[in-house]
Amino acid sequence: MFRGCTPVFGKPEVEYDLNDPEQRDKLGISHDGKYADGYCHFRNCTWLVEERKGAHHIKVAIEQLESTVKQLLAKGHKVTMTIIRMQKFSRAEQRRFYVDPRSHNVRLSKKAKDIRIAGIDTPVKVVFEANLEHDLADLRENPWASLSV
Amino acid sequence: MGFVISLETRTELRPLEEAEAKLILARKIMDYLRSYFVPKALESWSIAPLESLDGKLVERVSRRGSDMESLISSAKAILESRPWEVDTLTFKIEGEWIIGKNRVGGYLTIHNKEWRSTYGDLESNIYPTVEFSDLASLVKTDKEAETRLVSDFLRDFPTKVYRETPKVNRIYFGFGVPSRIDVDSLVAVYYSSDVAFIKDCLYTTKEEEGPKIKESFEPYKENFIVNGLKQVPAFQEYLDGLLSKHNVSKEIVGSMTLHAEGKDSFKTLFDEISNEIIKPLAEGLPDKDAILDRIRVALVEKTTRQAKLDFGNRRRDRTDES
Repeated sequence: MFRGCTPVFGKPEVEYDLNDPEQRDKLGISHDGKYADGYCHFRNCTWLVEERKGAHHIKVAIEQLESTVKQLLAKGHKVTMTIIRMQKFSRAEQRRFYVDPRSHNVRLSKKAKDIRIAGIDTPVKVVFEANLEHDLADLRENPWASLSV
Repeated sequence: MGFVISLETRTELRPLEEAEAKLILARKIMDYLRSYFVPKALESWSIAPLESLDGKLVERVSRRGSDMESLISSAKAILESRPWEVDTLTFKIEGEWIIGKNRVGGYLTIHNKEWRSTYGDLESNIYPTVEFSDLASLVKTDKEAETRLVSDFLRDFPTKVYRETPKVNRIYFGFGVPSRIDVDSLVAVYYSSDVAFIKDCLYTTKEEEGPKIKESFEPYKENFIVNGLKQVPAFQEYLDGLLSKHNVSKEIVGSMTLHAEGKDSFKTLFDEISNEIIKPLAEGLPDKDAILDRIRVALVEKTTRQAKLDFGNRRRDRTDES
């Protein structure tokens, strides 16, 4: 069950549950399975798209974010930040992806380059369930870190 | 759970032939799964399978009517028109998994050389939904589908494509991204050889335990270790005992398939193999430093003896000259 967007910057002011087909229809998002879990707006003007992963598959999470963001932007909706909330990486993905412990930006290890979705300035962020409060505090306290690399 | 198929890497095939062979294999997988997976479109990607991962979408074609062959033909046409890019092309067949009354979006991806190291040569899964986090939870809703898609597929599919090159080495069914370094996330697996499972346990332990264990095994090839274990009397019996203890069934017909009854069977099995076999082995084997010490000692002895001989010869020569 979707339990609302993660309160990255406090309680969201506007919130869409993208697992609900009616809410997807409202936003013009297709029903092909490649959609994220939530889309929300915070008081600090952040429009966030969020994907939550129980199973460890970050590539699929990025694909769902990328597809959702593309559709939202095409329909004229605003997106300023994307976030993946997950348990942990599989070992195979740990060799390919890396999460910077300060900025929480996810990177391709080989290129040491932040992963960005076209149309959004901020790189994709990853927070882990086991460290959630700490990771969210980082994002609140270090918004400058978003702009790195 | 998704499935990941790894193929043999050493073939005599040229890159284009190898890429086409993978498409043929994908076609056969879709044939096998046709009652459960309905392909709808094919995306051809260069470099990586997503824009945010630096990939570039080359083409997207939708399936026309019931003609599945048209998707594979489109992929072949892309390969032939871009021979310089053969190694970097990824093909993603998007479709719908239909299990019982449930229909969920999913994919079958043929990865390029760069991405196969993470996701295997061919990978399939669903796009997670609120009800189903992955293919496993979806498949579990229908007993017949579970038998056909897991047990039968692992047992039958490799024999159906036995004559193809490259050959199927491993098929992993598991949670997240099942791989040779994620044995503890498996639900079922096919191996083309019966020693591959213990080899995967070795890879996983090295990855899990970090540098100390890695260093212990550094001077040894995995095949050397695994073949050494096989020569230990009663090792196979011991391993079989562990499999049944953790409710993992085994079938061997030249190759080997393992199938877990419980969700955590492979995790508990791996933990025991790692703790009872692999870690003690790592502690018992002479590590890199010990072997280097022996090399040093042997060389010092040899070179000292040689130096003494040389010194003796020089003295004799000088005496002869005088």
